[in-house]
Amino acid sequence: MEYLITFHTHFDAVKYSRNMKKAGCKATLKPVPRKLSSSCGSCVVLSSSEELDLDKIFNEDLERLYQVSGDDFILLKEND
Amino acid sequence: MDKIYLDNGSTAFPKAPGVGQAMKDYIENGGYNISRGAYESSYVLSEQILDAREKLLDFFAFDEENNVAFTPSVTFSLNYFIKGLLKAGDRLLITSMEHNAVARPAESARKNGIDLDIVQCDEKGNLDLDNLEKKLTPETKALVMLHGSNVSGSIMPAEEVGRLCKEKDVFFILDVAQTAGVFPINMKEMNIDGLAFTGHKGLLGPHGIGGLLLTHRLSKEITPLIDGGTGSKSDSIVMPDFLPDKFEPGTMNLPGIIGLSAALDYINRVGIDNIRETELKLARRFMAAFLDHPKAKIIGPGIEEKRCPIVSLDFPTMDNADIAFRLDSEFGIMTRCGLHCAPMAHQTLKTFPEGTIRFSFGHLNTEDEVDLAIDAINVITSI
Repeated sequence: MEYLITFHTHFDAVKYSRNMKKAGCKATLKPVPRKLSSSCGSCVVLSSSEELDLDKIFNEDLERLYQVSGDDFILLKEND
Repeated sequence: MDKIYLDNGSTAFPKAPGVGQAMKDYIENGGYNISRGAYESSYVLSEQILDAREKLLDFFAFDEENNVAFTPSVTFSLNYFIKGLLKAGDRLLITSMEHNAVARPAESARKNGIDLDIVQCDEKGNLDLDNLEKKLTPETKALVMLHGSNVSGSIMPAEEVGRLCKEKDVFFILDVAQTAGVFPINMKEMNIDGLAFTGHKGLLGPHGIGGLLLTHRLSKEITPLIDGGTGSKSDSIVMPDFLPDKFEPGTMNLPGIIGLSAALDYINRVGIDNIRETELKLARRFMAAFLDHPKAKIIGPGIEEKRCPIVSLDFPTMDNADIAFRLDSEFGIMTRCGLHCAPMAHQTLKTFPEGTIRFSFGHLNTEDEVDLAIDAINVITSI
C-alpha cells in the first residue's frame, strides 16, 4: 500500500519524512505529482505491506492524505 | 609580531572549530539549494537545515517548532520586529543603551508615525526596573531591548523585564547579539515573544547568518518586510503567512546555516557555562588593572557586578583613537575604538562623542594575552 501526503511547507515535509523514518516507516520525499496541487512542491510517500492507521500518519498540521492507486490518487483526508 | 584579538564584540575570532570545514564541504561537495529542486541530494540537505533549526530551538529553550527563521543578520531580524510589527500610532519602548540595530529602525519607524519612547539607563548602563515599569503604559505595544551592551558590558535583567511585559501585555523582543552563546537564554522562562540573534559573535559561526525566533502570537501581527520566492505556495504571488516561510524569502545563506550548525555543536560540547566563566575571568583580570589607573577609566558596571565580558576604557587626557592605533601597530592588539554603532549608549555612559576603546574577550583568549594588553596600555600611557 502506498500513501501520499502533501504539506503546506517544505519544512513540514522534511520534518514529517524524518519522523516517519525514525518510527520505522518507509518514507520517501519526492516532488508532488502534477495531477495534485499543493502549497508545497514536495510530498512524502509512505510504503507499507499493510494498511496504516490513518490517524497515526495524518494530523491537523498536514495538508492532504491520499491513497496511491496506480496512476490515481484517492483523497482520504484533508485540512484546510 | 604575534597578534592578540580582543574584538570579539565585533565578531568572534577564531570561529568554532569545524565551522570552516563544514562550509567548505557543503560548497565543494554538494552546494545545492533546498525547497526548490526535487532530488535526493536536496532532501538530504533540507534535513541538515532542519537539524540547524532544531538546535536553535533547543539552544534558546523554545518549543514552537516552526517559529525559527534564518535572516542575514540580527539587524535584519530587528528590522522585521520593529518595522514589520509597528504601525503608525503604535507605541514602542526601547532603552537608552540600544545599538543602532535597534535605534535606527526605531527612529525610522518614529518618522513614520509610531510613538517612540526611551527608558533611561544609569551611567553604568544598567536598567532600573521601576523606571521601566512606569514606562510600560497600557498603550505600549512592544519593548525592544538589548540583553547585553556592546559598549559597556552592562547586562539587562531579561527575566524580570519579561515578567513585567507579560503582566502588562506588551510584546517583549530581545536582542541577544552580545549574549547568545555566553549566557543561557530561555525564551519560555524569560517570557520572550521575539528573539533576534546573530551567528557570528558569541555563537562562533560565520558572518552573514542570523535569525529570529518568535511566538505565534507575535508572528500573526508582523507584516514581512521582504517578499519573494519561498518554494511554497508557488501558485500564488502572495507571500505565505505560515512559518518559517513568511520570513525567509529568496535563497538562504545555506553555507552560513551549515557553519552555524557546526558552531552550535561546538558550544554544546564545550558548555556555555564554561565559556562564560572563562571569558568573565579574563574580563575581570583585565579590569583589575584599571580600577585605580591614573590615565584610564573603566566605563560601565564594576568588576563585581553582573556583566558581559566586554570592557570599555576611556582615556580622558589622551586620544582614544591614537591609543587604539598604537595598541595594534606597536603591540598587535586588536580592539575597537569610537562609538561602536551605539551613540545612544555612549550618551548614557557620558562618553559621547569621544567614545571609548572596547576590549571584548573570547574564551580562547588567554591570561597572558590579557596581561600583555595591560602592559601595552601602561607603556602607551607612560605608566
